[in-house]
Amino acid sequence: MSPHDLVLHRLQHLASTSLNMHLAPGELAALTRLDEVTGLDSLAILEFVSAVEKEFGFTLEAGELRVDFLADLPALAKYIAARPGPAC
Amino acid sequence: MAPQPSRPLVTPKDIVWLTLLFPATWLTRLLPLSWLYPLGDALAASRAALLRRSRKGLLRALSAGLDADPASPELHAIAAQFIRNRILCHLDDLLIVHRFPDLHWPNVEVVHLDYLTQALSAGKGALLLNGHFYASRVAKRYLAATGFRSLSVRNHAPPYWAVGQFGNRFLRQRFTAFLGAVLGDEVSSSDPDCSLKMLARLRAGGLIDYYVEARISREQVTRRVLGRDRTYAAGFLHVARLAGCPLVPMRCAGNSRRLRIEFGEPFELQDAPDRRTFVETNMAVILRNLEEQIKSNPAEWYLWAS
Repeated sequence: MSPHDLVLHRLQHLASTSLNMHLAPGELAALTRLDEVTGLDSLAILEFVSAVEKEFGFTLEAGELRVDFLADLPALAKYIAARPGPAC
Repeated sequence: MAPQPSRPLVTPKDIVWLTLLFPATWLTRLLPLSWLYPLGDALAASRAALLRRSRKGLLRALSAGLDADPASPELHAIAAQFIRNRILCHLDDLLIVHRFPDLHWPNVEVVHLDYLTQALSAGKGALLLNGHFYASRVAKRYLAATGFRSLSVRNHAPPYWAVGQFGNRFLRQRFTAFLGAVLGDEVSSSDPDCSLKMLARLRAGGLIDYYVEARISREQVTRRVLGRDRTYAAGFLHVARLAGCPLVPMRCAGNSRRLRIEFGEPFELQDAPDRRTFVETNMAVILRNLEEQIKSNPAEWYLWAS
C-alpha cells in the first residue's frame, strides 16, 4: 500500500467515526467525497477537522479550512502524504 | 422562501420594511445628520405614545420575563423605552449603511476593554458573546472602526412570522441584504463553511461576534430563561473548543449618539467527560450571564416581542 493509499484509508476511517456514519468495509473504501454524505453540515465537518488534526498531528492553515478542500478525501490524502514529518 | 398562503397580503411588518428600504433610505441619503437625529427622536417619541394602548403583548412578555406586575409604571416605562429604542436602532442601521463616514461617535463609553485585549493577547482569537441588543450592530461597527473587527454569524433566513405575502415576495431578500450591509462582515449560519470560517478567523487571532440566542444548529439545548423554555444553538462551543479561544461576554446599550459597550470577564470553557455534559455545563454559565445582562437593562433587548 502506498503512503497515499494508507493515508486515504485512515481518512476514510476518521470520516466514518467522526461523522457517525458506521460504514461497512466495502462502503468505507468507496467513500471519497464527504460533501455527498447525507446530513453533512458545518459542525460535522468541524468534527472531521478535529479528528484529522489529532490523528496526523498538525494544524490546518486558515486557507485550508474549506469544505471543498476537506471533502475530497483522495486530494486531502495526497496533501497529507506530501507533508514533511511523520504524518504517515 | 415561498409565502404561506394563509398569511395576510400585507402586515405592519411589511410596511416597516418598505419604509426602511425606500423612503427612509432616500431621506437618510439626502438629509444632513443634524436633521436626521431630531427626526428619529420625534418619530420614536410619537411611536411610543401611539402604541401606548396596544402593547399588551410586549407588557405580558416583560411581565413574565422580569417577574413583575404588568400594571406597574416601571414596566410601562420599560415598554415605552423599548419602542423608542427600536426606532432609534432602525435609524442607526440606516446611518451605518448610507452615512457611515459621517458618524463621529460623540459619546462612547467602553468598559473593561482590557478583558478583550487580554483575551486576544493569547493569539487564539476570541468569541464575543453578544445578545440581541438594540445597540449590538452599532457597537460592532464602532469596535471595527477602532481596530476590533469581528465576523458576525447570522441566520439569513429567520422565520419572520409577522411578515405578509408582499414582504416575503418583494422585500425579504432586500431586507436580508440590508442587514448584511449593516453588519459588514458576516457569515450565514447555513453556509456549509460556517464553522470552518469561524475557526479560521479565530486561528488568525481574530474576533467572532456571536449572538447567544441563535437557534440554528444541529446541537441545541433548551433551558428556562426569562420565565420560559427557550432553545439555543450550541455548535459555537465546539468551534471555541477546537480553537482554544476565550469567550468574552459583551453588553451593549444606547445608540450611535450615546453608546455603552461593556465587556465581561472571559469564560474559559469547562471540559466534560462527554459532549452533552460539555454543552450543558457551558451553556448554563453563558445563559445565566445573558439573563443577568437582559434583566439589568430590559429595554435594550429586542427579542421580548418574538
